[in-house]
Amino acid sequence: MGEDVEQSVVNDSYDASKIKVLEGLAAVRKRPAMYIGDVYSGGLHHLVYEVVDNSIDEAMAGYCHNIQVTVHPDNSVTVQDDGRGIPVDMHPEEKKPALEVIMMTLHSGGKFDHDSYKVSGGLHGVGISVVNALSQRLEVEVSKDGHVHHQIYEHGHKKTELERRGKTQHTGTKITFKPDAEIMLETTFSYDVLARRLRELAFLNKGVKIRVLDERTGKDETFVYDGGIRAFVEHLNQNKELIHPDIIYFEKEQEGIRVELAMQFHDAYQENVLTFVNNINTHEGGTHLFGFRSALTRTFNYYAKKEEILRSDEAPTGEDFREGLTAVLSVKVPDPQFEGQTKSKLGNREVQGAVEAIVNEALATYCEEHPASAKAIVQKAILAARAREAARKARELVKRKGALASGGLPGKLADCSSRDVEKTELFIVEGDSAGGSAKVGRNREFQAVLPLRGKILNVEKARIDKMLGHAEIQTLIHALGTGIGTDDFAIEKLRYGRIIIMTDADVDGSHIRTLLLTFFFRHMTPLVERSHLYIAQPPLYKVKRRNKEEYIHNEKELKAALLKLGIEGAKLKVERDGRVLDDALLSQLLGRHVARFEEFERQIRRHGITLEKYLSLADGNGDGLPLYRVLAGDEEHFFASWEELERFQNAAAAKKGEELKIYEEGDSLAEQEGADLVVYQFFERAEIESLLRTLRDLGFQASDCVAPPVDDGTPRFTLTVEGGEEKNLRSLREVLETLRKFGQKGLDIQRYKGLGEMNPEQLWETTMDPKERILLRVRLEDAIKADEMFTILMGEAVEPRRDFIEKHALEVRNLDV
Amino acid sequence: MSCPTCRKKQTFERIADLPYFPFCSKRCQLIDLGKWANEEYRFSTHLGRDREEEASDEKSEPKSTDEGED
Repeated sequence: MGEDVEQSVVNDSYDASKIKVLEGLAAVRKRPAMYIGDVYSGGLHHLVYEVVDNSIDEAMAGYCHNIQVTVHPDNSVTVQDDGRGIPVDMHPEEKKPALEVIMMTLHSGGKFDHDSYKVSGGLHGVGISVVNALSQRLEVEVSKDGHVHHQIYEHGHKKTELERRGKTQHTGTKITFKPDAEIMLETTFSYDVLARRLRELAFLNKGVKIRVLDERTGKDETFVYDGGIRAFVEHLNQNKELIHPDIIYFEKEQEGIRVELAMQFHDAYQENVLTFVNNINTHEGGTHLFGFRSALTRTFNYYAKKEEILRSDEAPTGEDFREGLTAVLSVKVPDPQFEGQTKSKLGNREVQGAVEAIVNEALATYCEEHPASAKAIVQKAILAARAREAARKARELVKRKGALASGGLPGKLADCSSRDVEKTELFIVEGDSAGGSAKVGRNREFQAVLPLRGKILNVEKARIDKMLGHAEIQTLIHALGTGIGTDDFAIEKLRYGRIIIMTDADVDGSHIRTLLLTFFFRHMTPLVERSHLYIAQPPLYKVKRRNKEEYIHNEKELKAALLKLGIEGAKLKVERDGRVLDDALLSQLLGRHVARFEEFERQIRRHGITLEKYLSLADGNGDGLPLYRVLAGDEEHFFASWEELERFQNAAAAKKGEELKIYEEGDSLAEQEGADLVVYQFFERAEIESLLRTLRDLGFQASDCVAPPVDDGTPRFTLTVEGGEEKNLRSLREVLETLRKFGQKGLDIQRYKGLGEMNPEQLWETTMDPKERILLRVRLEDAIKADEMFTILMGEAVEPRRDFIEKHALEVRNLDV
Repeated sequence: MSCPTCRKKQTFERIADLPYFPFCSKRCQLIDLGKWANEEYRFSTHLGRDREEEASDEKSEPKSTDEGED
């Protein structure tokens, strides 16, 4: 035993005078369960522990260093130690050898005399006499005072007298016993059960070497831990992600109660606190555990407040502070009182105060000395508190209450009659008036309507906040029927095959849509994964000419429609070569080809330059458009191939002398900070080149399409529209725009600002009727991208967020689906 | 993608590899759900500042694909 174990024997002459007889051996064989719990596996292994405990007592007293437990092929067991050996001299009161008194008298032994051992193990302190009483045969060999002493018992009775069998210089006790099969209903030892407890004992008694050898199988393990319970915690925390690297450890004594504690936090959630009293595992806890827990909560809470780590609304509970805690608490108590179902709960009141005081002080010191670890532990508890609070709110959210009509459905829901999920649709409609129109206009058989209102709050008169209210989310969850999350989500309970979000085409509508989509994606992921989620496309315009009405869904459609109207009967003269194009040719040229430049213009602008500038970079033949735009500090470079770009990068890297930090368009924005090079790639180059080739085949150059940067004053195109009006124009794009403007004449274009502007019939015709409507399906990969954007938008860091939105105004729109 | 709550990077081949997708753990999932329940996800408009421009040409954004209806 190491020097650091201060468990000492007050009087180290351990002889017969120290053995007190409290009670005669009685009735153990008659009622064995009273002494060892049961006659099955538990009781059987208990017999071994009872013997080993005697050796451990010697170890705790500092006299024993090695213990060996051997299971023999016939399921007998030998426990051997190198302690002082059980006394063999004559007992002064009993007038027989002390060994015999110990073996044959219940509640006898050194542990009942506080002079011998201050504290002692042994589960119920029944002593080795119980093992003797329940053994078919027990053989004991004591090396002491220069001699080997030997005696055999059978069924608790002395078979031979105590005799000397030669000389030895060693000391120790060796006991071999075979449990009595007449009493024990289980007689086969489990190696694993024994090894687990022996390992535990080795942890609890640092430096003691415990070997367990199974002669039945050859299994053989030796446990020795110089780190003691520190090593125990390390063992329990292996393969775990740790919150702090060091193991908190201390050992202190107060009022005769010795407290040893080792603890460490890991990043998972379960709490694993093992408590021991005099080496006995107190599974049911007790006063020592109470003391530890209250000190833990108090000290860390005090520290968190003092260091101002806690927000005012945060109050981690004891439970939060114990999340991810692995701890071994070992106390040594002179007179332990055990209570509880299995007598494994400590009852001594005085222990609670002592443990609490010691842990309070030692933990406070630890926090002062290890602020980084202490802060990490407190942060973890705060996170635990947040999660607990979140879980409570989340539970409320899914609780079935509130405005539910019969059948558990929300009162606002206008359900459909069909229950065929293949056919049914749920329209989630923003606003009550649009909801009302949708309810009237829908096909009641398979279309359900749920009107939903975004909650609006006026915050401090300075801003307006829009959100999905608690009640709205509840309504949604109940209407869909699937439940929520992972464990409580059941796609088979989905009440509608299509969930269609129908919102206004304005900012408010896009916010509500974004919130809904994010919520569905995060908490009803299978809806997106399995393509149940759609976005309705209400028309943006109603175009009316004379008596003909047409609904138009987007700008592109509108432009096409205007061109179609304006081009009728128009002619275009190309001044350069005198060619004249009629409306059919013109329609093809403009509608199919020239209009595409509008799309490219937007894309090119994202790379930081205008379309005009980009096209001007081509050579005379319209070839050689750049593929890359590179910003290096204030310089701007263009490269036509990856090889050129690479050469430039290598040269720049050589000049800098270290690897360059390169930001590529599309990387996370944070990486742009401090980048040496910012690289933009014109992915659309191939398409633009192909378009330019097509135009060349039709006899036009890039400069015909987009007005050249320098205006030389000469007219390039003359456009004659229906009715004879003539116009001189500089580019085909101007021609296109002029024709659209012309097409607009005499047209009544009504722009729908909201769904509410449509009556039920219009809403049905344009947006809900499966034959006419357009739906966008929400795809998973897009939802993932949008979610990341949402996270940034909703993030706590306000400045980078604004920065991000300003720089990426275009991308942010993607969020709006 | 990153876990929306703790921002921990997570890689996966199939969604099924991540039982709490898009979250890394049940805890992060719950924390997020708590935020919804607590109405913490908000779009703010500052009064006095110009209203954001109308989102009118969002129809052809890449997040979704046109689907011909049957």
